[in-house]
Amino acid sequence: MKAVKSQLSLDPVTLEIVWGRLQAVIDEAEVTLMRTAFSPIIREAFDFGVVLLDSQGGSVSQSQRSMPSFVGTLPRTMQAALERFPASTWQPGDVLGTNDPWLGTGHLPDMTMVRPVFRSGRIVAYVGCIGHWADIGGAIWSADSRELFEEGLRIPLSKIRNRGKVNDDLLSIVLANVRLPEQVRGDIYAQLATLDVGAQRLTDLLDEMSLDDPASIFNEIETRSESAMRAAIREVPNGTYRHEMELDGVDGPLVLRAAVTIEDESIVVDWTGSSPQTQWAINDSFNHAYAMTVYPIKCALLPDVPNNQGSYRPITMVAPEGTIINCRFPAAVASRQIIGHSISATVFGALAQILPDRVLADSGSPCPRFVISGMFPDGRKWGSSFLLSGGMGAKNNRDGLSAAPWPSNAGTTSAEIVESTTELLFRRRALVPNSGGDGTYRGGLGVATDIELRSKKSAVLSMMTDRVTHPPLGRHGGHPAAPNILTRSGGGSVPPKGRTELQPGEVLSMRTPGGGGFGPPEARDPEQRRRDIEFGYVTAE
Amino acid sequence: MGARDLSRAVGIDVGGTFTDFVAIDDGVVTVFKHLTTPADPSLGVLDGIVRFAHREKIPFPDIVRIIHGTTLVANSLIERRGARTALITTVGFRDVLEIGREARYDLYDLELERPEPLIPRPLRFEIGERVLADGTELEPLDEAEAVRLSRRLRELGVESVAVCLLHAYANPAHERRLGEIVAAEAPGIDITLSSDIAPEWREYERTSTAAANAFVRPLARKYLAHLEQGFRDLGAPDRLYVMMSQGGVTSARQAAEFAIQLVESGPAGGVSAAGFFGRRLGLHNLISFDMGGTTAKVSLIESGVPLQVPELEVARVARFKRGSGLPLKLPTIEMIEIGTGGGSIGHKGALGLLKVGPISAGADPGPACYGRGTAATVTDADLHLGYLNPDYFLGGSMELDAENAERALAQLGDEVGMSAEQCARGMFDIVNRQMALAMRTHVVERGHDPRRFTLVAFGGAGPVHAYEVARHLGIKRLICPPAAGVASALGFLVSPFSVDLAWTHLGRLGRVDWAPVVARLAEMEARAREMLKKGGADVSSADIEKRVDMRYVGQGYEVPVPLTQAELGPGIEAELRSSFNRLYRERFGTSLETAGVECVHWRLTARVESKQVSVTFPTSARGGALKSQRRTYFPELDDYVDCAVFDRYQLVADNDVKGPALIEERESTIVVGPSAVWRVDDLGNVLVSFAESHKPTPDNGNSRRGGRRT
Repeated sequence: MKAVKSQLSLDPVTLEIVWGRLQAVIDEAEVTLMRTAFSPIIREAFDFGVVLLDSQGGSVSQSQRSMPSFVGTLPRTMQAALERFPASTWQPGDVLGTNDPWLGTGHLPDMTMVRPVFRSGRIVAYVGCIGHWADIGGAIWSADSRELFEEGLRIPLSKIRNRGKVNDDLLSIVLANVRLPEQVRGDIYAQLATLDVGAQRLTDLLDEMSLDDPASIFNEIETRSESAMRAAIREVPNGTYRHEMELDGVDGPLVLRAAVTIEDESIVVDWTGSSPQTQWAINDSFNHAYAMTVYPIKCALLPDVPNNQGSYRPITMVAPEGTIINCRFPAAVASRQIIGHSISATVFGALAQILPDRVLADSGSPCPRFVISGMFPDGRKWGSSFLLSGGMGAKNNRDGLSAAPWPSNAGTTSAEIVESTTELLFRRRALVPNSGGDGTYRGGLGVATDIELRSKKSAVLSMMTDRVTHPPLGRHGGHPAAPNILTRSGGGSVPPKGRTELQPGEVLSMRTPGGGGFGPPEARDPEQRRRDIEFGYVTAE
Repeated sequence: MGARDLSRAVGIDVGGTFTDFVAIDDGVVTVFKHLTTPADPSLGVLDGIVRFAHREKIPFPDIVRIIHGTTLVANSLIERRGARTALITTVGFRDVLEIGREARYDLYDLELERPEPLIPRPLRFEIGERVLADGTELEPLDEAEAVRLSRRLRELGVESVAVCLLHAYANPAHERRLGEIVAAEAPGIDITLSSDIAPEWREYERTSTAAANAFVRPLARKYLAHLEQGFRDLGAPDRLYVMMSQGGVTSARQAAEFAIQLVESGPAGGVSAAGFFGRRLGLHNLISFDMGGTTAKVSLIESGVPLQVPELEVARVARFKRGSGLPLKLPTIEMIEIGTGGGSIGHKGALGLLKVGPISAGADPGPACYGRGTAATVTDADLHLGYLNPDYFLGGSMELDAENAERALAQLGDEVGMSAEQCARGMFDIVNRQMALAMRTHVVERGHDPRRFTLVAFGGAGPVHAYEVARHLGIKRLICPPAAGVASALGFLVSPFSVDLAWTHLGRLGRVDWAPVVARLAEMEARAREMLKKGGADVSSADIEKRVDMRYVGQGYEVPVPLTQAELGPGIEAELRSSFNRLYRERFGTSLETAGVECVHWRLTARVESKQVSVTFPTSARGGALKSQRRTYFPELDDYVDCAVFDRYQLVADNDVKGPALIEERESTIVVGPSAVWRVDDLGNVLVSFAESHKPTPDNGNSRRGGRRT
């Protein structure tokens, strides 16, 4: 029988081929972003996300370098956008965007943009792209703002492009409110180009397939991933597993409290009992918290299967409003990664009770961030954002990676490039000996960074970090890692969450925390101990 | 053949199993294969060339040039077998190799492994000194410490040292002085300076490149010297040349200095050969398609020149994962590698889908049809579908076991819920479409239409799969050159002598300081000519090409812009800006006319084209090439047909013949489907042409696969 069908029959060969093509569509869009973006945070640190979405806003495929947080928030932003702007109101050439923390990624510097893909007058898919802009106005990126309005310009869901025409009024408002208008303008156009490349490649693919509506393919892809996730959850014993993590906080320790309930084929993560939201800019919002909750579950249960909406369907999150996990507008949120990254580690703590072989000890996260901002003698502003890594926690069968981000996946920026565009000088970038927690398997080492201000004027340092008094913990008898250590050559302290002035010639030193150890240290292979000493990862007494 | 001919040249490519020899003698090509001697590949090379010369009756002194390609450097990096190597960095930066770019190359894998640094921590040292981004010295080199360090290196038995100091691309003085001190205090230690090998910014990538060169150079130098000695003993001194990754040839002595440039020498030869065959047919936009046992390699040739990239990644921990290997700042012919070779294994993926590769059955146990393995591979599918002749594999030297292939396919079928037949068709389709996708992505990213390109297929499996790949892309023409099994070795003989140099120096249009740029480019040109000369080329006919990589101020990715002007200076800035905007628009669909534009890397290529313009292949063909008929499956018919089988060695140049056809040669089989015609030209190429109305096939596999169940 060779009847012509209106849709594909999705045998294991056709689906494999089409899935590969959809992955290529979104990876090509990513290449466009990396090559055209202006913000170093996007192109050097990979702080972006590119996702293909179905007509309901569910994710279908994500680009290779996308951040774990963004692949989780983008579908939620898309779905919120569809509630306010139903599909019938969109026109070809439209692009909608927002940086609203509660609709988007949890803080203002990240701009989420989405555009529809039309076929025969109907929307069959969306392409979404998030980029961390070089600046969003307001205070510089910091942890000590007290309410959202200090943190920069908030753009509600708006048409960035209307039927192919860029919204110049909005653009001029944005550019009038940021410190680096040239870079931000470049990033806006880079994101638009990214969306257009993704949409064009998808259209080419559908043309080749002579397919009007890819819904059945998208559905099959999401359903297969969902079934795989449900099957993986079924393997885990039912029950409620609790874990608590304590952070330094600002005015006193903060607690993240997770109750992970596994019931047959679904998981509920309940954050009830976590600390109330704070007056500092470290509060997380639901979208970002959700992304950071599902990411570690995916790592532990199903690392090999492509991630998409199907992976999320079996997982729900409960978080009372007004907590650090789900703060209320207009709470300050600029450094929400401090809570967000800790969310992932807390989920691992709960899963460790039933899946000890599938999780890590605590990593040197929340991944430290800081910004230094100054002025050249001719009055031009310079600034640089630093996205640092600690060591990764050890696993049941291996040492943790040193100098590795987790759960973030930010890359580091070349010292030579930073020095070429600022008045900063790197005096050191090296591994920190003894920073990994001891254990049968040792935690990864943190990174030492010494930066000198070579300027005749002072510069502003905005530090966004934690783990100064609460080091990353080991698991199953493994020891804790070294904490975060912050010092300055001029004497005095460096506030872990706050802004301070660096004086001309002063050197800022940071030792990021290592990862916790796994298993009792007595069981460590003596050969590995000998090698640790030989390599200077551990120094002899 | 007499000694009168001065154009005798031999290309030698050492592969995993065979060492290939190709000689061109007065334009006539002869070919020889000899077993590789893995423990010391030079033995096989020297033994092979003696036998080959004897067979062809070539007196050694008559050989004017021996051009060699080797996997020695690549294998040395993959297996981490190289010199005992140390690193010296600016104080505070000894861990730059180990910290890398920090980001993980797989988002979800909690057990991912990073590449082990080539130089272990105990052999990484620091020296007091500091240069700023603009090249000015902040702190002098600590020479006393340099002396102590040199002695320490000697005590530690270090054979080779890489030096990478911050901003050495802007001012190499400290690196050079340190190199002098080490040379004086620790003579015999091999020294690689980052400012010599890759004077570009980004300390991790530059250090990685210097470290890799230092790691492989003593080995490569020894190997090349040994070969040189061997050829000298045979009466052919000073004739050894080497193929480099960037597509050019240089003398063995020159190559030993920058040994890391040999890392992709074999594959680069294949691309050169593809370009050569295209050129002879007047075709300049080509896709070079080399499909072997474990991977397929795809390169683009645009306007006759293989596309280069300024960096590559080698020795990956996860072969097909970007970011899992060692980055090298090294101009290289761009090669997209896909995990689809003849040995790639079909398996059931985590979601129940049929997957092929990237795991390969290799040569041992090999595809199921080799008789030992049980995994179904692409070769098994090819055999099952009728493309391969079980009695004429490798020219009949190996019999294929069709029953074992079928068993393996049936077993895979049980796992994924399909028949053996469906599995074979599915695997064939999946790999063809994956390769077509890689080509499409590659071509489209550069703003081109794949339909304007000609596919050149070689490697053992290339000609088997090329027809379908071309069909999927809407490509109208396919070339299967003669001697497809030795394309790399042949490519060496037709490659130019060339040198690529680069220099990072920022200059924003409107305030470029041209004096140092003009001076440096002149210096680079003089150096390139010197290198070409040392490399054995006649520099009087050298082509010099200059370009500058440009970007909008604030971006991190550059677009190369040709510098064609005779006089460089402020007068050309307007033209540079408009060229850049145009090239940027071609690539990304949009340009930012009002944004600031800056120059980043200045590049220079010096090239002397190979004089080898015509080659012929000796033939004993008498016509009557039709051997037999075989039931063969063609996806576009969704059915098997009786397909004519030809002996390539008996084909004579003739008019178009309508497909389908199978054309068998020793190392491969050319598959021509029913929608094309084919012919042999007087150069020995098999040319396959699709009908003009030919369109890309829909990617809807369904209508073709629905009907037949077995």
